[in-house]
Amino acid sequence: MERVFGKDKGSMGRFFRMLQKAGLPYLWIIAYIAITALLANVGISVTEYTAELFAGNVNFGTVVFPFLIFTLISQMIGSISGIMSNLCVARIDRNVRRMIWRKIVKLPLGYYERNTPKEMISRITTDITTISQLIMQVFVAILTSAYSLIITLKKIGSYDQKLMIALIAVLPLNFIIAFVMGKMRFGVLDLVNEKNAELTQTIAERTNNLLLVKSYGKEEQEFQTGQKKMVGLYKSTILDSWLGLATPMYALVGAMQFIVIVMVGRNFYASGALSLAQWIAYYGFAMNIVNLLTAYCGYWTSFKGSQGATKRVAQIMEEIEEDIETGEEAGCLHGEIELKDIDFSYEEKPIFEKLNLKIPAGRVTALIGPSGSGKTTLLNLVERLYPVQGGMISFGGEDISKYSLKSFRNAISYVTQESTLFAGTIRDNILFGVKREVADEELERVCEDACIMDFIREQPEGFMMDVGENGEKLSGGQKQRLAFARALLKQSDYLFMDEATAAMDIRGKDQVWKSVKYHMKGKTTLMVAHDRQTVQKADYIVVMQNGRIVCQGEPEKVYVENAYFRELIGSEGQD
Amino acid sequence: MKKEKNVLQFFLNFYRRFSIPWWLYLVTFGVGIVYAEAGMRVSQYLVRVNKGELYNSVILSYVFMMLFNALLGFLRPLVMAYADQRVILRVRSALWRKILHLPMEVFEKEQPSSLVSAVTNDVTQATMVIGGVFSGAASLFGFARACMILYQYNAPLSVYLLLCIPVAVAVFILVGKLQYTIMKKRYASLNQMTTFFSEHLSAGKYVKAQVMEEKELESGFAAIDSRYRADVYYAFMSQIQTLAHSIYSLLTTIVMAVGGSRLIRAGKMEATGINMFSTYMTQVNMYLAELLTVWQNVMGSKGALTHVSEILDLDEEDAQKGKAWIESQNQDIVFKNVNFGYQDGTEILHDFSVRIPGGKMTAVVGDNGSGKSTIMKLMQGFYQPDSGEIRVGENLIGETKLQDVHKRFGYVLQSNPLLSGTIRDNILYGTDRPVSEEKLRKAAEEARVDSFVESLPNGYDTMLGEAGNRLSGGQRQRLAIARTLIMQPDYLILDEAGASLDHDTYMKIYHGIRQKMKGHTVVFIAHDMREIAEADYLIVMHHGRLEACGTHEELQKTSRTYQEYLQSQKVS
Repeated sequence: MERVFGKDKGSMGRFFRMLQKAGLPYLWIIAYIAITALLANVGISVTEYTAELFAGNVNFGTVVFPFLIFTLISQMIGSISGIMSNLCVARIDRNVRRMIWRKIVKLPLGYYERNTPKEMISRITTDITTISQLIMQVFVAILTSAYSLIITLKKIGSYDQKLMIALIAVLPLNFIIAFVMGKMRFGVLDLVNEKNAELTQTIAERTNNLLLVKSYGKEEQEFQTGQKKMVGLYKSTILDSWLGLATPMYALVGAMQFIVIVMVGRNFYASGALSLAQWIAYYGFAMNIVNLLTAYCGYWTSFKGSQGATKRVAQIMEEIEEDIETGEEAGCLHGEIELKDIDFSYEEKPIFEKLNLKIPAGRVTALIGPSGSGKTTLLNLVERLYPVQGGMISFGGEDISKYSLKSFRNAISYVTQESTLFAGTIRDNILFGVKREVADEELERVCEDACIMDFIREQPEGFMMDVGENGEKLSGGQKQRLAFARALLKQSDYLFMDEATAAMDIRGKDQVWKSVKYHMKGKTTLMVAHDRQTVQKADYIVVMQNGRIVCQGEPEKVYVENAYFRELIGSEGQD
Repeated sequence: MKKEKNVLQFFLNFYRRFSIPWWLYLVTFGVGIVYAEAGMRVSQYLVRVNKGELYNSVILSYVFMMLFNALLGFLRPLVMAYADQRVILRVRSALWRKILHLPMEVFEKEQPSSLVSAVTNDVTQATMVIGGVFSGAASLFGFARACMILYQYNAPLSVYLLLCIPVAVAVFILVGKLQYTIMKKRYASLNQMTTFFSEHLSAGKYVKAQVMEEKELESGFAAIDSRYRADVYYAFMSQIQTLAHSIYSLLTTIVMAVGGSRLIRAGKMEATGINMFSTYMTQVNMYLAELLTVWQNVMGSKGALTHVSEILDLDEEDAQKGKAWIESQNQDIVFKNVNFGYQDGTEILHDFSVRIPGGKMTAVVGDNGSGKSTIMKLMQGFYQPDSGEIRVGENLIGETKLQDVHKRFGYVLQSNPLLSGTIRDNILYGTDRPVSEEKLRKAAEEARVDSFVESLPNGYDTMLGEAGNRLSGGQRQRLAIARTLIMQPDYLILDEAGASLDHDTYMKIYHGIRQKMKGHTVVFIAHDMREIAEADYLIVMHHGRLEACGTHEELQKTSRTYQEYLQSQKVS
């Protein structure tokens, strides 16, 4: 067992605790083990009757008929056992997947940023399948294989003890060869997979960006790049074929075992201690055992190879979850937002040190500054997507950390930079996250306010138009309009917008601005922006630079004091 | 019959495109024949061992034949792999070359992922037929040999057994059909699940901001459960396949046991005859399975190969074809009565004519969807107009060498892909000759990305893959701008190049470009009126038509859209 998990002592316990959490289909597994044990017993009878037939004992009643019956039963039970095994795998996969998903959904934003979506996807789609493999092909198979081995040896022992011992003596050879070949094969398969992945990545990257390749006239060079990867894959595939050398190697071991088995067996046979039928049965059993062990070694090596995946799954389960339920109900938040002595660093890199800022209630505040100055991070902290590492954020004097995350985030509308849409209709996407009934008139009104209603009307399916995966059928500006409409439906007293109109044209920005003024009258709006059309209409300006507030106040005041703002607004743009 | 002929025709046409390593396939066939013969000998000795003829000579011969057979069993697929992999490599190259040379309008009709899978997956089917013919011929030989031996040994029982073969064929066809449905369903469910998770796992921030964890949990469970249902379906269906196989083997077992025992009792076959039959039937069934697999592969590969050959049949643009570029540094770009619509039928430009002055900085303004980006792509020859003509100086786009056109233009979009590799690789992407360190730095400086790159521990040699997600949109954009500027294009096209940059940085880059491109032609799309007002010349587009063009002062009087824009941004 230790070999499976390496030197890390505690990981074994953690692994089983994880299985406990996922919940295994124990009844199914036990039933599978029972039926497989039955199958092993029937198999022995089949081999014995086959031997009789081969030896020429062809009495219908005592040999032929029972042989046929046992063969039939053996195949029926084999089918059932096959179905059970597949069902166990399916159930384990489902349970483990559900467990991982339950975990991932609750992990804090930091986890999502440390891991690429691609990594997380492979955890939940492919990595987890190694767990069912481990259970069925290693843990369960060791029981069933051991049982078959024991009853077969016992049967041989019933012919003669020495035969059994001779057989046991030659088995280690199989283990050795299976391990050596398994390891080599695994290494080469790894290489093939790697080369395959490299080829796919190279081809996909260029194919998805064909415009770039063409606009730089790089077709020939890119052809060469792809060609190189193809040759790499060709070479590793050929190398893999050379590993077919395993076939003669196994044959060699098989031959040596055969010689031992025959040498031992033939003396008994010659002395008459073994009948012809028993000799054939003995030979058949010996071959069965060899096949059984070879198969088990195969599982073992393939499992050893996929160990990394099991470990990665176990690691996710150890991540600390975000608790969104505990805390006071946020209810109706109001008042100014105050950040007091905020410390925050991201992956060792300090972003804020003792940051202090007040954002006035009931007004529209624009947060401006060069990229990398910490504007988005500030919004994320106020939304409590990250915990602050020092200091306090309060709304109307109340420390927000006392509220439950769920109720707090529900009380705020946050239009993120990415304007995420999910596959589904426009309607589904606007209503995502809205926890109340919304009348059609209201839906149309917010779309009107977000300057997207004309577009929806032009669509034959209207609100039922499918937006495609990640909303790919819509342009950046259209996605932002939908995201804004969604935020308006939330009717919160606080609206945060992170470059939420960057991809819109001039008219779109204009309309969104009017809607903000209308809907957020008397409420608090905080927007990150760097286009002057948006910034010049704000009531209050905060200028950030390198994680510090360099200037804040009414636009007139900031205009006088801050060059960055002056530059952004330009001389004519001042109200 | 006619259909069969078409299949044959199809494969013949397909293989005619590539050179085939015939001699390797012939060697495969030869090894296959020897392998079959050796297999017969192995069976022969196995029968004797099972008869109890345990003499040294039998044992040694058996061992020797077994080893020889195993060696051939290794050689046969090895030679085959050499032949197959060579063909696959050739098909891959041809496909890749094709994809790189697809015109944009043809390319956009295809799904990029389907093109990629043609190169990575579909081509692996390319040798199924040709390899199948050679290995199938060897299998047929083995099948016939085993049948012959059985027939010579005992004719009546052999005939009975051979009568079972149609059942085997029927079973095989059934299993193959089932396999197809099962796999299709499994792939579909896996795809569906992966799609769900890839969409939702990249939206963590959004889900949290909307407090939709519970709903996410539910829809994730739904995706997981649909995969589970497909797995359960697989559990049953795959056993039905196994069951179908066992019906055939049960049938032969019954015939062999009942028929054989009767013959033995009647004294028409020696006592150990069933042993003999059982051993050779194993060979018969093995070769039968090989043959049927070949047949199935051939039929199965047609779908994938149709996809491959369809791609190979697509139109190609030859970047080298056409008239050479006539130098025209400061010349005008002229659109004359251009009509254009994309393949999906949406009309974009209607009778569009304009003269973009050479050597100046021109801004194109208009609402989203008014056709601004389209004219940028048309003038670079990425698409051909449906009617009308576009000239850059004396060069008629469409008749001029595409590669020449592309090299004269620098093109920066709102967001530009970077390729994996180092920052240096990316900035130097478009350059053919080695570029001095100084020039590299200069370009980075002009794009205001120098101090960022130099702050990285590995500087210009930082791998983008490693830093991948850590580069912000703005940093990526500035790298893309550096990549374009280092080319020193005669014509520079900026399509909302500043949208992901903060105003301050972009204006610095913008003024730098203005300085650097003095005397060259710059055309840009922007939504910031101050940036626009600085242009020498302006074009206002409205619903695919030219609304007005002229200088800032002129447009203030003539263009309504322009006036509205100025109003919105309070620029006078």
